[in-house]
Amino acid sequence: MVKLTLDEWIARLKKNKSFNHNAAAIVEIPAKPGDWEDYPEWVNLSLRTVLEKRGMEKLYKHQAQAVRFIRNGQDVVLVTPTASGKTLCYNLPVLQSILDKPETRALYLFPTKALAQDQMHEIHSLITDLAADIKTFTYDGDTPADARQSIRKQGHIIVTNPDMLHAGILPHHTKWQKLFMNLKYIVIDELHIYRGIFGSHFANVIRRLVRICRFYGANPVFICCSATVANPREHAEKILERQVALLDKSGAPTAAKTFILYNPPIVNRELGIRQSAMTPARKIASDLIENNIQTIIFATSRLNVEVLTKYLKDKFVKIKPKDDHFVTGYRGGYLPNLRREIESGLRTREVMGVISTNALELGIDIGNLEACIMTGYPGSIASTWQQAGRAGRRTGRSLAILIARSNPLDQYIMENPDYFFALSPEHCRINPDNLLILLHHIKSAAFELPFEKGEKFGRENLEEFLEYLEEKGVLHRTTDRWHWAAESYPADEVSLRAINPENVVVVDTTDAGNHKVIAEVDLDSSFTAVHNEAIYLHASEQYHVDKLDLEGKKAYVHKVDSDYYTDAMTYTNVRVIDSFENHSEAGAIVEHGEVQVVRKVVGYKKIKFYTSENLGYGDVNLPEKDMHTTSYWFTIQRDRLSELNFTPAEIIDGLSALAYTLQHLSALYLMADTHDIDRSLGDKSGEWFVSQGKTGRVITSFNAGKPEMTDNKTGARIDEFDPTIFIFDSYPGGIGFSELLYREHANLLSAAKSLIEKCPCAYGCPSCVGPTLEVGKTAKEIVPQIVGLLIA
Amino acid sequence: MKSIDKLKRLTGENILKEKVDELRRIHPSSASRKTEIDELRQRIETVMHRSPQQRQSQNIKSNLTEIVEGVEIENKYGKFFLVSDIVSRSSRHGHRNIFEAFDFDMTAAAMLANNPCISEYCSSDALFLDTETTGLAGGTGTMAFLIGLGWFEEGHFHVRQILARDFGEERAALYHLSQIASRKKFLVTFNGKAFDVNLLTTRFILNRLKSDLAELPHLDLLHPSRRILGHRLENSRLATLETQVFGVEREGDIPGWEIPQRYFDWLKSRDGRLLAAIFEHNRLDVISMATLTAHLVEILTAQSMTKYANADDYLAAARLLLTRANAEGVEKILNIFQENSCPDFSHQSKKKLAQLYKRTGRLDEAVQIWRELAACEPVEFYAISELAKWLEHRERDHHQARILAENALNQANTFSAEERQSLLHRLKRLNAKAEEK
Repeated sequence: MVKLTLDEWIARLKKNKSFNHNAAAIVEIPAKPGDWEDYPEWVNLSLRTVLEKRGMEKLYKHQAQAVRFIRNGQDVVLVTPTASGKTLCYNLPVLQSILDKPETRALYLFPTKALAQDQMHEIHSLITDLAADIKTFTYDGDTPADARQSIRKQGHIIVTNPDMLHAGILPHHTKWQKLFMNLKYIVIDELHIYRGIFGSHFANVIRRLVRICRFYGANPVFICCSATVANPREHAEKILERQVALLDKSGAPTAAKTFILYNPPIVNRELGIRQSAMTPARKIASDLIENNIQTIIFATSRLNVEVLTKYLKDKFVKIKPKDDHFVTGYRGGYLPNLRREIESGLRTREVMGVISTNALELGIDIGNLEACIMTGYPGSIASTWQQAGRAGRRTGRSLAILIARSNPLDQYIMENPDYFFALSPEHCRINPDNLLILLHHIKSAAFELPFEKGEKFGRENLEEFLEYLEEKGVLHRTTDRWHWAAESYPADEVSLRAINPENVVVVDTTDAGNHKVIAEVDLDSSFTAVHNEAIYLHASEQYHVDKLDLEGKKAYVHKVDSDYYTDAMTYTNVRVIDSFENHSEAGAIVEHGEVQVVRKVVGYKKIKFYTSENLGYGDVNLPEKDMHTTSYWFTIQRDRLSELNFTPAEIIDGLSALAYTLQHLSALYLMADTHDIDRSLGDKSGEWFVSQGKTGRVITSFNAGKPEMTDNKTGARIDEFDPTIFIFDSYPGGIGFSELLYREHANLLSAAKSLIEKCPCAYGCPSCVGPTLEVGKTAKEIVPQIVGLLIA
Repeated sequence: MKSIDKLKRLTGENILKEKVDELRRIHPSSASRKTEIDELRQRIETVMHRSPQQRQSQNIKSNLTEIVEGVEIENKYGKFFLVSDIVSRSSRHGHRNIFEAFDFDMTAAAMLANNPCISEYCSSDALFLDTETTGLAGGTGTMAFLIGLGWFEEGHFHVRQILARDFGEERAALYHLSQIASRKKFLVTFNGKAFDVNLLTTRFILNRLKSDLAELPHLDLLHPSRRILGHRLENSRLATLETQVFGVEREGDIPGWEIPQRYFDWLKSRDGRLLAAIFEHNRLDVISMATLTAHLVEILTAQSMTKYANADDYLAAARLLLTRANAEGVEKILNIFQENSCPDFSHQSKKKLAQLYKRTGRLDEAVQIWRELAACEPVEFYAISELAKWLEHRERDHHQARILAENALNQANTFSAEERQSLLHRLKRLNAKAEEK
């Protein structure tokens, strides 16, 4: 077979009729020339020579600007695309300062160890060329104990991650006296990663860092870099709690890119079902790889990564029977060694196809891939561009294809390609004053330095917290100070990234004499991923879960060769605890506040590989999980609904469908993952709620504390409750989404209405109100009518 | 609503509290603060009853000064509590008198510390230091609330214990420590390099005080104790060492893990009885460090073969001296064994002794032990191989070497497959050499 180049391959694709028919947009992003400026005069001559030798005769305009700002002590946030020379913006002023004054210290923060290592290599090679006595070290969990002392004393530039700063550096700040006393620059790369829960924790770690710097009399300059988001400056200012200057005009030239939005064909007009995004992804990927075009395929979930990897491995096993890494998966659960192997395989082109979760989205050096396929909208515009940027970072034409799934978010993009290509409407949201998160960090901060009366930390009343902790016996108050008075080490009690730092390890018992740990699953996901009888997919092998031992935090599995995988079913029941704010709007009472959420995994579906056919159900018996969080909700009076000319069962279906649409649109508004927010239909007391059962919608109502479950068709006690739709934060204490949604109530409803009305399906589909089988045949008709009641 | 109430709801505490409140409505007499204090008092009583000599009548809070003989001191940074004690020269600590610990050999002490500076000082320049802390977690949130110090002065051993009765007294307490330390030339601790001095340095920084503690030459007894005495101890804790090496039996000693909680309880109740056992524990630790130093020095200088040191201690000491390249010291220790050839030595000890002889060039003595060992069945590889090497390369008596190896292989022996292989290989080479001739 004659192999095609990427240009030839794209040309051929454009001639393909059926492909063109389904392409929602084909956009040629032209190459853009650069905008340069001379080096500032003060730049050290040998530093300049080293940079010039690397081909940087001049600085990009944005680099020159950044360097000038930073030199003047201005905190900045840089927002420029991948491969626009961001790192030089901070490396130049940092190296210059150290050359000027060798005591100067800098701290670099990267969200992952892998990125830190990567950056380390880059700056190290600069310093080697410079032949200067500047010491750079990574300091993380892998740093050997005997090297740590000299790193603390001698390192000019310390490269680390927020977790290490939180648990390893700040609680031992006296050992880092030299660093903190001379700390002039703090670099925070990939700032947009610090949003939601992680961001809320991170902002508190920065509060602690600033507090420690103040103790040593240091007032460092913050240099932040972010991918393109709507509110980089606001976000940076919220994290740093100070004003920052925004630099967002890139002067770097860019190479040409073909960007295609592809919407798989509708295969069942009746049900509004489109072909699964996995199918075209698989076909396009294998064709590209066969043509020797190195390709990265992003999937939106762990499960999809494994399923796609299996499909592609099956495909290439004939050509490359022995080469296990020719196409391979890549995700968080893989052990570090395997991941390093894959990364280097990508650089050497031994790996020609990699299927990844967003783990490879960030700037880990995997060389220049040519094509990128996104199986489903990654959830945000920023992620989409980051993922697309993994193809063709520096040279030549590259290709990016976004394949839509049948959900409202993806379909919204396909319907509005301009929105996608022209705008960046997403915001990074954090809530550093989430009470639980704040409490953890007040404890850690008290461990690091006693709190003085009148000190500020966060926006809540600090003294109240300190008194509370005193009452709990972990702080001790002297006249004007609160001291840490416990034996524990508070930073170990919290993980910055996970809701719950506990993990379940997956143990492979296939070989009876040699049990092996193959993966870790966080405790919360374990309920849906490794419940008894589940099929767990790992490294494209299938494992049957024999037992989930929650006490021992272990899941015992053995290898199987099944033709199906499993998908867990859960129910969610929400009860209002406290309403913070409310108003009446048309036919509804709109509120936001605090709720209690009870979740339970009740069973699972068996789904056949390739055909996605439903092969049956199983029960799961796991404890309920209880969480307090914040929510936005609205309640519709039951008599208003009875005005509509539909049966109660149809109305319930319609409301469920509306909740479905609203959840997805909320994610779009919030730049949140659809997993960060959740939905429920019930009533405010939690006495009555709707969930999806094995064969259809089920209504649960509590009668004297006992749940009674009824099929929707019989509509049990439907006239006794005022239905309420909840859209809530999936994190205890909330991340601050609900108040925003409360303010967007009217906009959300109009967007939902227009999405549903514009959708070409007949009776509702996953792209608008949810799959017809789940929502019922009248949903598409009824939802606009319900919305009609709700907007004036 | 107050944010703390919201927080309590998030953590689920409110549900509990509501229940308690409900109970209180039924039993209005129990105010929460009072219950808490009562519970604490009860805990104190149970703790106290474990050590009968400190037993006092119930519910009577005791002032610190009634329990421990000490005074409040004030300096420019505030107040703290100081306990002073003089252990007179004739006091006994275990099997020895305190005066026997005085005037130890400074060259040997420097060897123990692996720091030659120390040899220029005298034993009264030493500051013995041991702290009691609010935890073992490390990091900035752990405080040393009691700093025990000791030094030799005019033949007696002086002990000072600096107590910060609250966090607010820490600065004054640390300042007092730095004043005493500035008059001394070097530190002696037990695990102080990794723990006490690290922790104090952190606390000096947090209190914005200068400290030269970390810069003082430092003899940390933990490492040499492990090297010299480790072979006969179940663990390397100071208390274990005391009991097993110099016969100190502590009565009613407080276990270390209990100390932080006692101090936290003291902060709340101010009941001096809580601290009494900690003071005594700390005092004994400081004294033990002084006697331990003297003991280790004696072994290192081969002073005499007391019944409290055994042959293996000396062998370990000789090995330590060897790594410090102190040939003279090794010689001195080895000479003890020459005088009484130690017939009661274990095989293991004999091996060690022979190795020492070999490494110090006293081959004749080494050979003597190897021969002795080689004569014992089942024969061990070590003796045979050393003898064979000596015969082959030193004596150049290939014939004897061959006989030795051949016999050993035929005798009852403990050779592993590898050892056997190595002997066979040697035999082959010896045979080849014999044929050449």
